[in-house]
Amino acid sequence: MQSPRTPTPMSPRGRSTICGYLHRIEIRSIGLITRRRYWFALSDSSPYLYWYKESDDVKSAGRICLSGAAFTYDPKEKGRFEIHAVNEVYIFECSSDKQRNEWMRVLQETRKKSWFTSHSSHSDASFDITALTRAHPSCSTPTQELLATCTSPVPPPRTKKPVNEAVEQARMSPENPPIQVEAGDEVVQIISEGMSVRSEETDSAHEAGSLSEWYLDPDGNLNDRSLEMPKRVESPEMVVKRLAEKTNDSIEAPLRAIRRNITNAFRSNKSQSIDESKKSPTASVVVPARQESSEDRCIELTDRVASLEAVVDSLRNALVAAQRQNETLKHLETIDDDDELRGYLLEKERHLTELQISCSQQARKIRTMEDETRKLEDTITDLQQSVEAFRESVRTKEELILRLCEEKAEEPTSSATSSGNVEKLLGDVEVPEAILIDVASVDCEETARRVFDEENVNDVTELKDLVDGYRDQNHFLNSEIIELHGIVQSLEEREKRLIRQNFDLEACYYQLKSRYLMVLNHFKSPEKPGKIMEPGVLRELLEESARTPRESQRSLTDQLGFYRKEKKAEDEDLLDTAASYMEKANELMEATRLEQSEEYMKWLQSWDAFLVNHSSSRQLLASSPDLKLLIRTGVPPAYRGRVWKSLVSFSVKEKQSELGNGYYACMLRKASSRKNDGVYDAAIKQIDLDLARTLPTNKHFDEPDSANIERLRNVLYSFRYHNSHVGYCQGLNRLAAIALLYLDEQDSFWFLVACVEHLQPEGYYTSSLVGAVADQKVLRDLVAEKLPKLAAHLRSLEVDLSLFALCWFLTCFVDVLPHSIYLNIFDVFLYEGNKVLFRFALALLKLCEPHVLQCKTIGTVHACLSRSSEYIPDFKSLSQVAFNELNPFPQKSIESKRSMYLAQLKDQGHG
Amino acid sequence: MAARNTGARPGGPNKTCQFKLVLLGESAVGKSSLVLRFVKGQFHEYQESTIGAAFLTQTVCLDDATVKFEIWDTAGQERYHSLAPMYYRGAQAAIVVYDITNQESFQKAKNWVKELQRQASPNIVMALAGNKADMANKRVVEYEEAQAYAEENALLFMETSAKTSMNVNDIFMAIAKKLPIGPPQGETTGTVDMNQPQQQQKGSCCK
Repeated sequence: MQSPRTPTPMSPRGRSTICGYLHRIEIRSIGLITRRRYWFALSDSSPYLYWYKESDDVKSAGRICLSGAAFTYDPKEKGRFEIHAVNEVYIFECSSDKQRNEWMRVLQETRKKSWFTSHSSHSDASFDITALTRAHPSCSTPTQELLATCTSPVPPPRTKKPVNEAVEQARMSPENPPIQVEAGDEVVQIISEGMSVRSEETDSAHEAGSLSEWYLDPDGNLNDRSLEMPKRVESPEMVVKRLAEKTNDSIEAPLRAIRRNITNAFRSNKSQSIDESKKSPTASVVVPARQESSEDRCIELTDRVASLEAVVDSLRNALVAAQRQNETLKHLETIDDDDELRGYLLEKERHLTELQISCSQQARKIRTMEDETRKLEDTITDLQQSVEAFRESVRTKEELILRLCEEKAEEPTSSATSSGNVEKLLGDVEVPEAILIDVASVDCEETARRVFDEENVNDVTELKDLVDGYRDQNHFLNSEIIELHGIVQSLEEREKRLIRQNFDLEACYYQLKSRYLMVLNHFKSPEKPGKIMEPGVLRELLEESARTPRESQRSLTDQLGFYRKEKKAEDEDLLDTAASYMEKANELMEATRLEQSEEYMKWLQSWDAFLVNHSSSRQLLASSPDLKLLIRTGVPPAYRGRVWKSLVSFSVKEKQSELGNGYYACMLRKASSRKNDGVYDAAIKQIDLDLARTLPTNKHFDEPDSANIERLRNVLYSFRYHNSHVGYCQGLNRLAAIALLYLDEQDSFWFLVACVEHLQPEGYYTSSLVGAVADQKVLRDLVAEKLPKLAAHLRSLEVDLSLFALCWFLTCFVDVLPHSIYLNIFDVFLYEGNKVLFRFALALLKLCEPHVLQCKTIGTVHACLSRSSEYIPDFKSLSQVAFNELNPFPQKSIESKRSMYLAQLKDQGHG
Repeated sequence: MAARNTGARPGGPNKTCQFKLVLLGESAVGKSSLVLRFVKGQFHEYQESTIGAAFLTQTVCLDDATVKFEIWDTAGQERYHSLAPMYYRGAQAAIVVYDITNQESFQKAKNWVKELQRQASPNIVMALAGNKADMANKRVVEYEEAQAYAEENALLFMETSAKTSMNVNDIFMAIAKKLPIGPPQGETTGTVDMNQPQQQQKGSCCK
């Protein structure tokens, strides 16, 4: 459906089919993620999802068995979905959610269909393949698959309680942010300068946090680590957490500023109270070595240097003062005057008291400073409390949201109202009323609010989308559970049935065995037979054995309705009967063994892979070597109808489009109106004569009132009026009847048209059969070329090969070979045309060659050739010769020979 | 195919002669049914129409010889008519079959006789078989009419029924008797004895 080539979904006859390019995402063991683009095709005619390298590939690149598979997706992953099958999880991605939903729908339908068909009709191909898959060692039984899917950790059980988990996560997660905040505080306390560095650090820390938890990174890209389910579920909590962090940041900013002031104040006090003894320039060395990190120390040291510089300044001042004092002292020494000395001392005394006063003043100042600090610390604790309170309120809000989500999922019908509620409640969250910030810094609150509002608007829409997504997912998963439950039930029923059957068979077996032993015992002691077994018992047993085959008369015909060749034991010889039963048993065993062989399975699967991608409505490949090889292996009976239909429509599509849709109906009307007019020409007459004489070995044709006879009449009548040049030729009835085994009336008509007008050369069925006669001469030449020994032998005995081979070509071997072989010949013929008839004819002759060469008279050669089918064991050996041992086989030489002989025949007045 | 008959054949010093026999006649008159009845003793109400021709063999035992028929059962549709010479070329015997319930098929049989007289080997032994004798209530071709025609053209004539197997073996036996059995196989006397067309061949080893 999403394919660029076929933009509309195809549903011929209610079939759901989907195909398109998807990405397959594989997570390798070393954590490597590969993403490859494949062409995927899915049709409910097959229980497999196949993918191909290219859209028109015949061979598939991979497949998944869908019976027993479970599907899931995550609403947050755009277009991505998962298939859980046989202990493996396959991840695919399409370009949009809409496409994903379409895929999921068809996947479910296909799975349902595969179960339905495997139970209803045993001849269905999907059943064959699933049955075979079960037999295959690498695939476990669907039951096991299912069990495996149930026990393996897959989303369905998880997603049942996403809310609980989210709540749990929510309870646990608040532990982290406070730690971060505290760490931030430490940083603040240590670092007095370089605010910018610190804020950058916290920002990056915050980013890392969001990367690990939040599914979108700040740039709006998908976060790789958010692919797992639980983390996605906890996201509402994460929104709140992030908000809290941001708020913390903005609240902390003023706090830090305040603290810095305090520290500075402390430091200035300290520097003032430094002892005079540390006045020497080496004082900086004496700074106590702290056990801090080097960076911190560096910053600290620069701080120190700065403060020491201030100290040095004051020291310099002090030095100047001291020098002045020195000078005054020297002056004092020089004056030696009492009055002057007294005056000086008094001055000094006054100076001293002044200093003492200032000292006590300073002490008072320190005390007030300390008080201030205490006050500020109180403010900090208040702030922290308010932050805590805010966090608490956010947590309750978020719980509310999650509860609402849950409710919403539970009642999807009332989604409109509940989403209204959510909006209302989310609106409440927008107002940070719970924050009791009464700090002086107003702009802090302002920024917090602004950030908060902005975040909320984005997050609310995101959350709403998410809620929608989860609702859809929940819907889908519910349907998954119901379907899987249905599958489990049907499996259980089937198991019970099989067990019952098995019991019946076992009982039957033991019954038989006991009788067998009884009879054996009877003959073991011949001296007193009467005592071991009642005289009548043996006769009863004999009668019973004669009865059994009639019970199994339903198997008189094969799946196509051909009667099986019954080797009737006319004489009552028990040993013959036993031998014939033995033979039957062997045949059955052989057939079962063949059907379970790996080769047979691979063959079926390659066809399945091809057909899923090339359903009938899609144009068939004109010339694909892969397809050619595939068709040469024969078409599995279950797929033959579809393959023939597309092969036929490939041959006649131009004619069909030219003649229009209702052409067949029109021909039918023409035929019936002519009949009503009393027109009864030779062709119609011959058709009527042949109707009941067509495929009499098939139960669909064996009576004049069989269902297919009427359809055959319609097809042949229509063809007679469609192609009045050919009209009707004996043999066409065979072709039409064989088409009717697989196709409906209209398609059979086109089948006939394709055979007569496209696949066979001109003049094959016309009044003088000139084309067929000419081809006999071509065949004679080819035999001389490819089988020279045989040709020489036939020539020496004057055997005319065309006596036998004419009908091989006219009816595509219907008259000589068993249907199991000629149906396969039709498969190839419909794709490759008349040329393959030569291949098969030569292959047939080659297989007969050794027997023919032993015949010494014309009569024995005739007899031998008339038994030719006995030398063909199966289609495989015939096609092996036809396609591998006769090459080169150029079409051109056949055509040139044909045109030469046609011209010759026309000259002789044959045409 | 001829297993039952060959198995019953007395292992005497009889000589075995092979003869090519061809069946001709309009479509759906019962050529294949006659052959099937003669060769396999079977009858199918809806015998598959023949495309081109079918080849079968059957052996009959005469008193002093064994005759092996190589039977070419041809297709009846007009369209296949042009191929018929391929089959009757070199045939020593021919059975022209018509359907007693179908006048047209009798006319067609006459045409075949004419064609054989003109184009087949001159010594060919021809028999005319009015088949479906079991459907006498729908008869349109009178026995006398056909007999008169047969006498006129020196043909063996019998009304047969593949369904009831009436006269089926007899007509083949009659032909076998008329075939030139002797060392020079290709030589035929060419004499046609018209006095014993209805002779019963109870002594035959065939059923």
